[in-house]
Amino acid sequence: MKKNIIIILSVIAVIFSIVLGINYYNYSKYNEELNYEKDKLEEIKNKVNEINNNFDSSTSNYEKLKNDNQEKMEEYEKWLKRNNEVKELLS
Amino acid sequence: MAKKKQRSKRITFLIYLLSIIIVCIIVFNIILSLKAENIANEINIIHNEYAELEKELENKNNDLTEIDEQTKIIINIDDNIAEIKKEYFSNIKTLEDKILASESDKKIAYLTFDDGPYYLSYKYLEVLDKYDVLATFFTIGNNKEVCYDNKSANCYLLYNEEAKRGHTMANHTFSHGIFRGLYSSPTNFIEQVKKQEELIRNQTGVTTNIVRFPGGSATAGKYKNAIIELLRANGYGWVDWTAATGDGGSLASADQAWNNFVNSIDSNIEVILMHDYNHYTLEILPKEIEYLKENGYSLFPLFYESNMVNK
Ligand SMILES: [Zn+2]
Repeated sequence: MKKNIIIILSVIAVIFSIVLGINYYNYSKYNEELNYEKDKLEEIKNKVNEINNNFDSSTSNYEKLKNDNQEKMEEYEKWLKRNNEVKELLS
Repeated sequence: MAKKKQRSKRITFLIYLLSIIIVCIIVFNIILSLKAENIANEINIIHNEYAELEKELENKNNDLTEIDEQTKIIINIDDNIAEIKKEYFSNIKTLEDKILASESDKKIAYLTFDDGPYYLSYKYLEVLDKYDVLATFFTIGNNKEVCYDNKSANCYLLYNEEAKRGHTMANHTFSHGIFRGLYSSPTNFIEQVKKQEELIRNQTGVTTNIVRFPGGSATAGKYKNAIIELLRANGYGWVDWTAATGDGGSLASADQAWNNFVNSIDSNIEVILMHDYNHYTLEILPKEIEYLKENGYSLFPLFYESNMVNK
């Protein structure tokens, strides 16, 4: 009788051990994935920072150019508007 | 007996041991599962954060492209203005072609002002500004350093006032000397055209190749064809008019100018002759613009490629 219990318990222990093995395998896979995702996130964060810096410098460069050429820009925009009005007449 | 008891004890111990091992395995399993779940959650959060950053990156990239394009436009602003003007005139030409082929029911009017600039031209510019309308100025050059109608003002300054607003600068010869030998020979005429072209270029930076004969092309008399030939050979186009306020002659009143104007508007493309020294024309100019707009006309400045400019 006790022998049977031992066999059953052994089987259970083996099964649970296998489950534990599988769980551990999954866990380490998740861990790997987490590290990979963390690296990816870090990478995109750097990219965002870089583009933000580029954007800021481009914007200030643009604003400066725009101020320096304000009259010409206004003239350009006027012609754009006029051209759009003619285009409307054509459509 | 004692041996049997000892064996039973060992088996019991084994059972306990196995049970403990199983419990431990279960606990480990639970801990691992929980940890795995935590990691999965963390990955999920990172995924979301990543997606957001990716979106931000894309938006910023688009903004950056837009800014870079705008910057390029400013860097090449002169070329871009020239380019858009070219497109503008090319579109008007297409519209003219459609109107002339009866493929469009739209109408076009070209307001043209001859013999200026005068000091009164400032008032004309004010009206055109107010209505946001571009016109064409067929200018002359003789004695314009001093305004004829305001001796204390320099009328050379007006060339640039007209040009910088986008009005078309056109050539009405330097001397306008109908009775001073302008039409005495084709070369004489061309000389006066070139002299005026030079003056306009010096005052505005604009080179114009649109000419109007002082008094109209018929005034050239026997040399008309020879002059036209010479104009063509020199790359000039010329234009008369299809409507007028009659302000080149003796106008008695603004009403008379108005009647002349209204009675002469009868086609889908009109070139309207006026003179920017005339007070009556100035008086009715707002009404003229409103009348033309109400009757479906779009008002444009003339350009060399126009069907109305003879080549
Ligand atoms: Zn004239």
